[in-house]
Amino acid sequence: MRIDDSSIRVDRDTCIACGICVERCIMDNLRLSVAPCRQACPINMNCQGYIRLIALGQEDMAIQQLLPFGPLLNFIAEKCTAPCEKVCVRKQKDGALHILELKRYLVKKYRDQLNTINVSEKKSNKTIGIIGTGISGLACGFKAIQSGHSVFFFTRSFDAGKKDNILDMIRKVLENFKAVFLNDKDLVDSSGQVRKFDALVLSSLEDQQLLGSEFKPVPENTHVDKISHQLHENIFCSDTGASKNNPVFEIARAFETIESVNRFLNNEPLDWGRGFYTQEGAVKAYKTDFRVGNDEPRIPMENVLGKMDADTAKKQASRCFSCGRAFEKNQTCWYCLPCELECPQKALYVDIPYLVK
Amino acid sequence: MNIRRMQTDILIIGGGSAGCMAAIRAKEIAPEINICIWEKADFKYSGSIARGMDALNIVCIPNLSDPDLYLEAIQSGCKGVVDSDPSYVMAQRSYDLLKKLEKWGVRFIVDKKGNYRTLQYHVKGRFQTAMDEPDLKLILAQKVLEKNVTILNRIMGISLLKDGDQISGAVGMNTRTGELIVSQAKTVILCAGGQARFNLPNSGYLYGTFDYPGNSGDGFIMGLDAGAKLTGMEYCSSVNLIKDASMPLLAITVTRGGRVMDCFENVIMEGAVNRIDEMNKAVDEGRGPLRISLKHLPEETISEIEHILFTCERPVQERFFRNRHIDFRTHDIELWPTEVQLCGGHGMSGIRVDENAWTGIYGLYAAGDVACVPKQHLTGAFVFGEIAAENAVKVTKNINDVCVDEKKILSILNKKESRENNLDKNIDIKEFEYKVRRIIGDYIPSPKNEYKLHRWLEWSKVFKNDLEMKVKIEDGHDLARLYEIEHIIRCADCSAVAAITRKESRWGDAHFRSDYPETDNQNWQKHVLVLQGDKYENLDTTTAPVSGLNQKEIFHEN
Ligand SMILES: Cc1cc2nc3c(=O)[nH]c(=O)nc-3n(C[C@H](O)[C@H](O)[C@H](O)COP(=O)(O)OP(=O)(O)OC[C@H]3O[C@@H](n4cnc5c(N)ncnc54)[C@H](O)[C@@H]3O)c2cc1C
Ligand code: SF4
Repeated sequence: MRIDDSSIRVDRDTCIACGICVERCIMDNLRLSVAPCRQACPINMNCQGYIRLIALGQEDMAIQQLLPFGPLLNFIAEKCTAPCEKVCVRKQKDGALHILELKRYLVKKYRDQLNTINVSEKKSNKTIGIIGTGISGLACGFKAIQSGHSVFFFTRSFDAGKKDNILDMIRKVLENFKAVFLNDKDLVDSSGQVRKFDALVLSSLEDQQLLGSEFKPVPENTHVDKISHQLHENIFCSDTGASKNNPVFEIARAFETIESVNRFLNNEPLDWGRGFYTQEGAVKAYKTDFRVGNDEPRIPMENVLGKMDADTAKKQASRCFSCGRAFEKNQTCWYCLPCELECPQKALYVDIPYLVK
Repeated sequence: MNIRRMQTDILIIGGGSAGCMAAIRAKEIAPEINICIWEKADFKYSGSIARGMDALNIVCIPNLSDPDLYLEAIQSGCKGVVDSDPSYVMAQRSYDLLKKLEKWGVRFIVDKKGNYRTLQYHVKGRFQTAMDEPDLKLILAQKVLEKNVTILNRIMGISLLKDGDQISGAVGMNTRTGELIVSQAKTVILCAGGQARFNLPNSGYLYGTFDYPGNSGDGFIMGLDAGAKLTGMEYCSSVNLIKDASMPLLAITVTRGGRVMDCFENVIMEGAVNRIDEMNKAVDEGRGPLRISLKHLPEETISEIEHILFTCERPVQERFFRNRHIDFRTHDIELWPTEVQLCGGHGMSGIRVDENAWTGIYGLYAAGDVACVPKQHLTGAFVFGEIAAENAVKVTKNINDVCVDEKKILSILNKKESRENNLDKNIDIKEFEYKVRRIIGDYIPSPKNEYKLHRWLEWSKVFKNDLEMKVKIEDGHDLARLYEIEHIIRCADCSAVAAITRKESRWGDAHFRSDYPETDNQNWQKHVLVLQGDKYENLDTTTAPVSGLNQKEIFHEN
């Protein structure tokens, strides 16, 4: 006898695997099966989401999916090595979906919308110092501002002369959101006092040298905890020494670091309940590089708009198999319908289990 | 040892109707106090109301009804076993509550003259006040969010902690990862609902219950372990509702003119839900199945009924009836007894509380379905949520610091780890739940007798052993479910010992002992209380007199 049948139907064409239904379910019935592309993405970006929305002709909604990454997208779209494409299921049939190209298309076309940061409504009165203004420092700053903190950057002397258009662009946006940029010498302020922060984030282990002896952990730390990124009390370091073959990993580590900082500031444990969305899954998927199908070069950022328009983008996006979606994992449905009500795409239909029907 | 630690002033366990109201009220009177809600599911829609509601079952509207009349109605409805103070206080505060909800934008139905639409749901008096609010839970949740309350979703309370005789916090578990969390708290308000998953519903589908199946008696057992007393556990409440679906419709249809009929077309009720006992009797005498007929009503009324049934409480009813090709204009609705629930909101089982929502343990309050204020429904959940908050705030201000019991935490952790360990375990958790609930259905509900009830107690030992030694766990969800099933088994134990103690029959089907078929007002018009003995296995029972009973006002049927 089947004692637990029931039936949630999800429309593959419209489901964007956002996971809202999973969060809202009041019986813990649903789970999200995460598409390979998203599993492979170091920062867990919902590729399937924006691609499905392009395919449905809803580009304005598609860009919404990307907004949580704000100006960082300029960097991501330019520099990412697209691990997502390497695991795309379509690859075995007729070549991976051009996920990176579609991202470049969106980022280029809607770049004005990306010059902003959705700051959390809950204002914090905490100040965070960040040493280093490479991509990992800027990403930390971005996430910290998003979490409502005030941010001070300290450019390291060996970074100072470097010029990078994309990083400068990100920096400008952060400045608009009141980030202060200083030099590493300014770690001591004009009156000779060491500046005090609620938390300090280093871009690399070597940055310990810049700290005054009041803060420097003795003996110096030689490795960083992979999950918590904590170095010493309120000092964190985003670099865990893990591989750097995809620059986007640096952003991922920055996000993890700020998550820890937030927990630290809220007096929450740094490791509890993590691991659900950590990089482990991502790294594993990244290594499954089955190298089937085409590896043709992608259209570079500069001329993506010349080569792609709404129609070609839509055609490309329509090739997506829609691998990820919500599914009924636990068979505990009470057919109460919040999941259906909250689905932004109206892709979910709750049927009454056969035993009851 | 991966345990999350936190600290708060007031900890509310369960973010349903009562929990939300308690949080709002506490912040209203003391915004500086820290409040945290642990919610087993996701707070936005969780709980019995899930989305909306069609009526506030008890409101004493001035000039129409008063608390004294309500007391008469409820005393007669409970056959005299109800303390008067809590019910009286609830009725007194009910109209202010209605006004407050209205201010928040909850829509009550008002006629052209500005009078509330009231319906008769009790033996006397029109206390039920119609509402048309599909978004009730959303409104509540919004209010809580505005008040800066910490809300932790997917945290299921499993045990309370004490510092001497006083409450000092609780241990919870993440229902997705199985990780433990410990909160130190000066006071705790239990709002974790009743026991919806008792025996199996008639459909055989584990979660096809009337009440929200996330409520699995956790609150009862947490209270019991902490030393609170459970009352009325022998009251196995079951109503006649939509066959197979167990969804509510009685009040909505009957109070608007629907007829409840037996299979010989005798009309049992029409226009008022005042003869529930008669319905059960008809079924017992073989005059079932009962049905509700709406055919005779004007189109206008039928569409109003449809509108309410299909939007407020269980909107899924529309699909249910469509699937079965049932149109109220041409077809009757078949009814069937639901599964049994133990519930302090619809029934009369739960943690014993006084009119201050106090459980008798310093710092521990209980409100809503988890506490027994007989048939308090939503009104009770809201009013006692507020009362619990008011008293908890007072007590919290007098407490400086509390310690949590580290030894107990360690033993909970060890137990959890042994349950997580799958070595040599092979019983599927779903089958386990199915069997537990099937056996409960065999031995606990009426007709009861000493032999049957003892049979359950024997099975219970087997199940408790299987639970520790044989049931296989795959993830955090399964682990949380294992704890829920443990609570189901222990609630059944409580129900069995209470039923063994009450050597009489009372409340019709809710407690019928074939070995003591008569009602014995002389000896048994009192409460049967269950309390934890010195060991985990031991349960003690005692009795307590009913307080504030006015004998003259009770009329016993028959
Ligand atoms: C279908 C239906 C229709 C109803 N219609 C009416 C009506 O028309 N009029 C009326 O007056 N009353 C009605 N009621 C009754 C009323 O809804 C309930 O009495 C009231 O909502 C109970 O509130 P509560 O807060 O005690 O429980 P709930 O609102 O059920 O909340 C309990 C909460 O606790 C959580 N929880 C459970 N266990 C734990 C745990 N271990 N740890 C943490 N959290 C936990 C649950 O997830 C849930 O959110 C109805 C009930 C149902 C089920
Ligand atoms: S209907 Fe309710 S229980 Fe079922 S999946 Fe949706 S939210 Fe979960």
